[in-house]
Amino acid sequence: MTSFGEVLDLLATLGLWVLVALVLVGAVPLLAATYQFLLIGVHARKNHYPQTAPYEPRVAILVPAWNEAAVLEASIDRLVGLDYPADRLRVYVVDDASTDATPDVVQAKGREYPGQVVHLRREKGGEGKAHTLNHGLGIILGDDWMQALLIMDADVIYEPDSLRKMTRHLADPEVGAVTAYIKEGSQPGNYLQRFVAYEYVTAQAAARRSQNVLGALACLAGGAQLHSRANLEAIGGRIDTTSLAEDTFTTFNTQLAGNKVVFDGNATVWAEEPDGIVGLWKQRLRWARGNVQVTLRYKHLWFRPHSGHNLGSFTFGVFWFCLFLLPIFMMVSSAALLTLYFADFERAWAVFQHLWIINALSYLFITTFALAIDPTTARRAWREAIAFPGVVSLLVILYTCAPVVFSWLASLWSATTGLAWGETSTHVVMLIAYSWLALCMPVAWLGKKAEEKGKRWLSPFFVYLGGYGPLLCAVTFTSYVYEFRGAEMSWDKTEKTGKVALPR
Amino acid sequence: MGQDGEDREGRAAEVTAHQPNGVDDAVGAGDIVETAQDRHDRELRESLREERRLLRWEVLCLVLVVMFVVVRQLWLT
Repeated sequence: MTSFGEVLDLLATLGLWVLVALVLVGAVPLLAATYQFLLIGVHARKNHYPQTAPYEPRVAILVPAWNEAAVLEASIDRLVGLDYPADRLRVYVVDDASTDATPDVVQAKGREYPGQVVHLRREKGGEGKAHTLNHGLGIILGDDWMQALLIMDADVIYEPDSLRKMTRHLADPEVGAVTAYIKEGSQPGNYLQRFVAYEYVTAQAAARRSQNVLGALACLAGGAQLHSRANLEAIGGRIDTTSLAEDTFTTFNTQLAGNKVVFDGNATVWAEEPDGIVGLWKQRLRWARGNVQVTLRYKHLWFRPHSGHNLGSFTFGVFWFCLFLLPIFMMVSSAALLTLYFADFERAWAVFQHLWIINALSYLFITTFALAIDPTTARRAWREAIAFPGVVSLLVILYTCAPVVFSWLASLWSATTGLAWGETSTHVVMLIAYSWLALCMPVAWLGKKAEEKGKRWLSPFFVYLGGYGPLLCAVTFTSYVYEFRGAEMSWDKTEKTGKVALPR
Repeated sequence: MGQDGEDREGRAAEVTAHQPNGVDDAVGAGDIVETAQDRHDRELRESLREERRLLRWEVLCLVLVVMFVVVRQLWLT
């Protein structure tokens, strides 16, 4: 007969193992990311290239523009100069009631390139990109000239062959839409833009290749999405206006309509990203809130395999939710580790080491491989790639990987200074390390607060210390709060200065 | 050939003999002109080569991780 004490012991043991499992939850997103990177190798064999053919449809380029006079002139020149038959290319600029010289610039370009540049004007503006796009879409779909539509942003620069590299996939009638690899191209660019540059290697060049393998794409880049006419008609001829993630909705709707979506990592376009945390925060909060809306709107899709599309596949669901719930994973892991520290000190130390060794190996593989994927960005942003998880996380990784080195450094420090490393110091450091998976987010967020308080020079310190990745997690967490509160959906346009340029 | 193949061929047939902007004027007698099909084949080869390069790097990075684990077990713990 089992005594009450034995039942309590059993429950305590069970509780400890539950805590261990919750701590290890913190490794799940990185393991998922590692698997995502492993699929890139499969992409060498399983890709859409064999189905491509030389195909140059009549392409209408749709450029939404609100006060873009600073960048439009050069943008239009570059679009007209693309390595693509001039008689098969038209540029439609939808001027969203701009108050600057945008109409004059577009009209002047219309005179310079008659029949190739069209100025469309909305008298009521500021409703968001989707409304602006729909204005142009209605007119372009109104006649049968257009065979394919390229949706882009006014500041984005296409490499001369990129459009043709995208249209080749439309030779396959099963393909509804194609997207390209958007790279951060600010010249010279600051530390934050270099972080974004590296982020885009992981989030686009890497992640979208693996999504090609899965047959389900999460998002057509807003600045580079090419649609076949048939696909636009299949999704109703308009872009969703009820959310902040119109590009993700279009991507999902395309796949739900039974059309394939393809990422071509060899078609490259360059974009200018924010040079300050406040601007980046606004942009990413809009994207993150859009992701919350997508997750809820398509809740019937997740983890439910379907013969018509792969959005419901288990792997795609894991990839989506590992990103979407990343802040939760990190906070749960930290909270469980801290609880374990007080409940079972030895076990906490062991599981902490296991967690961070898994993180270290994933980090090593992902970082080295990401740098190899895009050598141009690697040369520019290798420091930011290394510092992506933050300097403190990097130190924890180094410690778990090479404790003997740290022990030697500690003894060297004691010998040099004459100060002994006490037990209290050890426990303080341990508590900080245990809680760091959660703590790194507010630390990175301090970078934004510093910028808001006019201490912009202090922002990089917090971003490098807390990490750029944790900064994005802080944005994601804020998006939950905004959506939960039902905050107003305002379209905060990202300010563009025209500093982006093609590399020489 | 299935319906897809026919559609694809039909679409490809729409391609005009086109040279990159500005190149047409520079083509002289005796120059070898790259047709749209040639250019497509070349770009396709380049794209596939790039994908194979990534596969090689993936293997190299995995080897690096394994080597790191061995080094850590032998000397760093």
